[in-house]
Amino acid sequence: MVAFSSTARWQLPPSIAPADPNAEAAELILAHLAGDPTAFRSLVSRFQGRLLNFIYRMIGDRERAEDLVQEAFVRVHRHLHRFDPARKFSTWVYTIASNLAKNELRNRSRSPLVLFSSLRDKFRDEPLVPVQYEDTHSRADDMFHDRDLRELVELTVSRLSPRHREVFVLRELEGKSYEEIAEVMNCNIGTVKSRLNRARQSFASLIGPSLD
Amino acid sequence: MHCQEFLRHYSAWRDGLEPGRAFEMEQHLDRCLECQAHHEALHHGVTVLFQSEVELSPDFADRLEQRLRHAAVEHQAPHVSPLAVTAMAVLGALIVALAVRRPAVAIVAAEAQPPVVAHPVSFAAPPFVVFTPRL
Repeated sequence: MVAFSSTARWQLPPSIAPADPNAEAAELILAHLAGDPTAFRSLVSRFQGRLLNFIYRMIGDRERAEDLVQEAFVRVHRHLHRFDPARKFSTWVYTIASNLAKNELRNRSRSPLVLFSSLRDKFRDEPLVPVQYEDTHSRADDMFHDRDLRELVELTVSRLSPRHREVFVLRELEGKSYEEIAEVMNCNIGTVKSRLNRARQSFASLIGPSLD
Repeated sequence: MHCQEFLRHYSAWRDGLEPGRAFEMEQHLDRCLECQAHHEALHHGVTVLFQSEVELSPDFADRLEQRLRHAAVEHQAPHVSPLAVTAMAVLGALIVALAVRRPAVAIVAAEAQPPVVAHPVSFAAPPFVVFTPRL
């Protein structure tokens, strides 16, 4: 039995937003397993936005990323009764999302359609040139709102190898600890450190000339 | 500290993992324009990424609800996996093959046996000689 109503909304009021998402996730899981019909919806609302951005950065396709977020929650719902409360829920759900994103990239490499692989091919031979701004007197902060710059930065992320992209996004955008990243990526902390250092260097080297 | 050393420890320093090296790193950053550019590029790039986050479509909740309902129905229905179907097909084919092959085996086995050859056994009284199969 799925405890959802068609008119239900997924956002909780910020006033009851938890300080520790994992502690609240554990409470929501217990409530869901005890039969609370709104608990799973609340759990989804806690993580849906972050997961969407994580998967989107990994695969570069917003629509498909949304599908994969849904698939991640379907899997969570199916296996929630087996979840070990000693583990962090966020680590578990990010691991599921990471695996789905990797599968997507693997499938895409077998039958390439668009997105990162083709974007990379398209821009491979083109040097990254500094963005031209119409208003040269704009403050630096204003420049970051420029759409071209955003596209350029996103393209730079897509140019990182999948492993570097994942560790970079998990650390820089999702704020995960090295331990969590190691668990999500199924590697040791030393590997996380070295991959992150290389990913940051690659990102800075690629985007640097465009920011001059 | 040289640039190469700075870059080697940069990531750990950025995450606050090397407090003992922090002063040395900051000193190098203050006087090295190249490493400043590296640091700024990363910082600005990440800032831009934060500003270009994507949002869920308005029907996300409804679609998820639908998928969960569908998954729940699928979970309740008896599910026969494609692997099980394949295994059953292979097993069936094997049984049929064995059934077809069995008479041939019997014939071969029969052919492999030595032919029964009668040999004479003599007696002192009538009928004096009988032919019995050799065992």
